[in-house]
Amino acid sequence: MRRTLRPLLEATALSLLLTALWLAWGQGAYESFFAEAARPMLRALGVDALPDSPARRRFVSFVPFLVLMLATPGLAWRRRLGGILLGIPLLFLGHVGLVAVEALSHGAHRPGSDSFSVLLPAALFADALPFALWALFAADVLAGLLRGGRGGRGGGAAPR
Amino acid sequence: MPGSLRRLLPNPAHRFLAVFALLLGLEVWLYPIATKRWFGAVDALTTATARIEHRVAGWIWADAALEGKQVWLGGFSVRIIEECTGIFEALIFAAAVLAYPTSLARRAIGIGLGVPLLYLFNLLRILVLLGVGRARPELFEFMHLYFWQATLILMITSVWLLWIFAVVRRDAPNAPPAA
Repeated sequence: MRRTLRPLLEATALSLLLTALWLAWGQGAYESFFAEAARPMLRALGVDALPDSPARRRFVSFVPFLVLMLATPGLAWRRRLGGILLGIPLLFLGHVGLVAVEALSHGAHRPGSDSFSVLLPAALFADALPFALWALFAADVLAGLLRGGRGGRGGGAAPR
Repeated sequence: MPGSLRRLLPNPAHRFLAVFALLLGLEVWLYPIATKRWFGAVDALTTATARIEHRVAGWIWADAALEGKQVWLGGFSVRIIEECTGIFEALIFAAAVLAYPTSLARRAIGIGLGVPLLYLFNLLRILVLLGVGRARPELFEFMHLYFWQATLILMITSVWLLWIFAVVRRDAPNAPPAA
């Protein structure tokens, strides 16, 4: 019970701390960075202006990704840090894609298209991205969970 | 699981991820079609969520009021939109459950119990936001961000892991002991 509760409590504490840090400092810093770094990519995708869009509220997806990577028990520190270092740029690319989809769905580039039906699936993908990246980088730990699903075939060990 | 996929992706976690992405893609493709065709169902779900939220808030606070899909608590209100119904959480969770290599019955239990549980979490989240919004409006932005995006994936992952440990591994013969 303690072994199950501990990661949960760690994840809760970490998510509170990281959300507070995000609001106090991270959001502003990342928005400024994003405006500069994403502009060439967004221009290439046909987005000239960076709108103040709901998509940008999903930039906080760094928080769940970091929490999952840091709170997963049994994950080697090298894999943990490597995953974080690779995952952050991938989340950035996900944000670029989401902002582009939103801007294009509202703009004149797609006349007659239903912006709602374009943006919602993109938002769903953006929401699932931290989970997918965690599953990718914590694959060794997750593999232990996935073995045994069909009656223990493969007999992997449960994570700590 | 086809043998070719097993050979291509020997790590079960990578196979899970591939199937998860495929299922999520399928949901993403079908979702706009389904919501266009059955818009009434989505609208009924948001209306029902607003009504339930108003009813539960009324048990705790005397001044809860409902105006369409807007739930009021004193001078503070929240508008229940499609995203407030937990539909995104349910879709991501369903893809994760269906991608897990286990029997159809266990997957059905996962979706049958997990989706209502996520919906209950969602109702609780909105209720907390209502209370915070009225009592401590300066904390609302933090709580909204925390309970919406920051914990969305953590909530899904927790329910998914709960299902794995409580249902899949508990029933599976010769399964390793749950943590």
